[in-house]
Amino acid sequence: MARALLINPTAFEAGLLAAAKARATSPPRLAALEAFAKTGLPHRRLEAWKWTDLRAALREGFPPPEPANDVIAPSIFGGLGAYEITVMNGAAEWTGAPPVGVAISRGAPGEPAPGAPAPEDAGDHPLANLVSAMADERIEITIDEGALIKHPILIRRIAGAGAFHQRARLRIGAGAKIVIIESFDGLGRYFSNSLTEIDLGARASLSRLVLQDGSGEGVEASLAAVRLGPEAEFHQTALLLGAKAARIETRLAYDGAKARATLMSAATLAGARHADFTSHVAHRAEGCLTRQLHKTVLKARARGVFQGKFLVARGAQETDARMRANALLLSESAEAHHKPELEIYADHVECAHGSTIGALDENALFYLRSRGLDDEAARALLIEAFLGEVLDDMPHPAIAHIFRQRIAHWLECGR
Amino acid sequence: MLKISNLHVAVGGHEILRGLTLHVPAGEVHALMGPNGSGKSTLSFALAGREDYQVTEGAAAFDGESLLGIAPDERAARGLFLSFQNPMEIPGVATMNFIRTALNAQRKARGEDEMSAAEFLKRMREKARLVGLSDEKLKRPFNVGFSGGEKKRMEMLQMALFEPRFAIMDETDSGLDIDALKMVGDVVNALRDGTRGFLVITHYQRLLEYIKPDRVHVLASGRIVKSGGAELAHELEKSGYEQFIEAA
Repeated sequence: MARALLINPTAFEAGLLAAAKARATSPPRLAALEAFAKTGLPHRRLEAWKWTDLRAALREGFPPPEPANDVIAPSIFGGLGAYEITVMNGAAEWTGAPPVGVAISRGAPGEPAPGAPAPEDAGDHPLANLVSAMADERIEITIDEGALIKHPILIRRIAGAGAFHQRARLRIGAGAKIVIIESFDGLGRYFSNSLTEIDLGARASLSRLVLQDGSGEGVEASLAAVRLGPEAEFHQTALLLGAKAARIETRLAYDGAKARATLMSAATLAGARHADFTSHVAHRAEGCLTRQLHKTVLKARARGVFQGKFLVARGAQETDARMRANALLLSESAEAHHKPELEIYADHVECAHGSTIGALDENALFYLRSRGLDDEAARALLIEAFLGEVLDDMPHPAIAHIFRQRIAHWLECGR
Repeated sequence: MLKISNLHVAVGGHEILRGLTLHVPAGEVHALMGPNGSGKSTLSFALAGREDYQVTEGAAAFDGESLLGIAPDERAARGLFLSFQNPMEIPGVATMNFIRTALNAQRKARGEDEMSAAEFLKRMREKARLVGLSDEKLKRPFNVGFSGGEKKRMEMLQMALFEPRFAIMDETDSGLDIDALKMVGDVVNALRDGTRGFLVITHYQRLLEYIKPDRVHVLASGRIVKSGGAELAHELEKSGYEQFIEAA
């Protein structure tokens, strides 16, 4: 039944549908399977995916998953004292008691989550449907009301050969404060598909740090669906190193008045890597504030995509939302695609967006060289300065330092 | 020290300098004056090594070695400094870090030891006081939010710190008040030790009240059309450049 809806599925899609059908043991999973079967993997003929064609990227499929390798290199976030949840090939493991005020458990994957995006925000998201149909479990992280969690929680996703679907739900109680780091890493050919549902209670505060650092043959997709209660604060900084195809997507909705969100992201891409940062912010409560900045630096034949949308509902008066995206092309073969969008139905709002795509400023380059910096050092300084704006106001200097080191390594090695 | 012979420079296919010849010996300050569009800034960019300023004919040598074909950073390491007419604002570049990196890059290229952070900080503060830039300004990204005058002070700070063997000052006086002009004079005069050379590019005589030039040259239509002593600047102040434009 489900299979028949998708016309000309690729061999990989047919395999996904068969696997999902075998798992469709509950009504929610069956519904997710049917929804996925209507679209299949997202492809370039869908407007939201026109620059990130996952169907094409995954056409070749994968060998069956291999057993997880027990030896995992330490995370670059290792020195932060974070409580670590490792998700190896889709299977989550954690040891020891979580910090006081934090509860972590495994939940059934299929049923709709209270923190899931509302249908009008999420649309019919093919990958969210796929995760719902395929994930075998869901990590449930609950932060008690008023808990101030000192050390970060690190969700470290690592993929080897194969296709993996993983789901996590984070509920942050009223007035609680926490830092969550999500890293996406992989070796060889793989498809890592994850959905993180985040629900912030009134006056809760979350800093989410994302590092996407996949392999050149991997395909990585992450969707975070975030709901903010009244006066909640959400700060997100993402660094994308790309993959064969990578998409980090954030869909955020204000459910309570006077909440604030800051979305900062940078993509540094070399070779033939591709990274897509997509966001959708739904202002549907009064007096909420969004600040968004995305920066991309592209070498060689890399491809960077930014799609950002602010949707301001009729009743969301006194919305204050600003978005800017800047891309730096270091090669004539690199491609940057930007699509900033505003859709506004309220009349007392301040909204703005801006976008630039260009090369390094030759005047600035000459100035630095005239002071004694060689060409390589001058370029590196300007690139770091360009990206610096994303990290300058990060609330966690130690994590900002790790991101800066990763960028410096990329500048030096292109990887 | 700086010897320029029959220099022709083209920018975007247009010839701007058309056979400029100039010799500034060590220890001397020469002033280069001339009307708008005569090629003064073209000369400064060409000497500093800007790639899109193409030398099509002639020679330029510094301390007996040709400057042509040498990268801008190598010219800086040899001791050539350009004070920009319109200094850049470079958002995101930390001022202190950049200047220290630049200073040490020059020292390294000359085979000298890097300057320690403590020594650098000490000298930086000393020179910042000399040029009248506050600590708060030094903590900002490079020149960001600076007034035109403050940017010129930042140029002078770098010149004082780098102690170049030869400085080209491209209209450093434009946009400066009297106090700032005096400061520029102080920085130059402190560096005048008989071994360094200066080429002071200006439209007006007033800066030359503070920096007494050994020679004054008039540039018009891409070549030097008259040279003389300090009195030539006074003459120009009275009579203007028209006679030279017509003659060129």
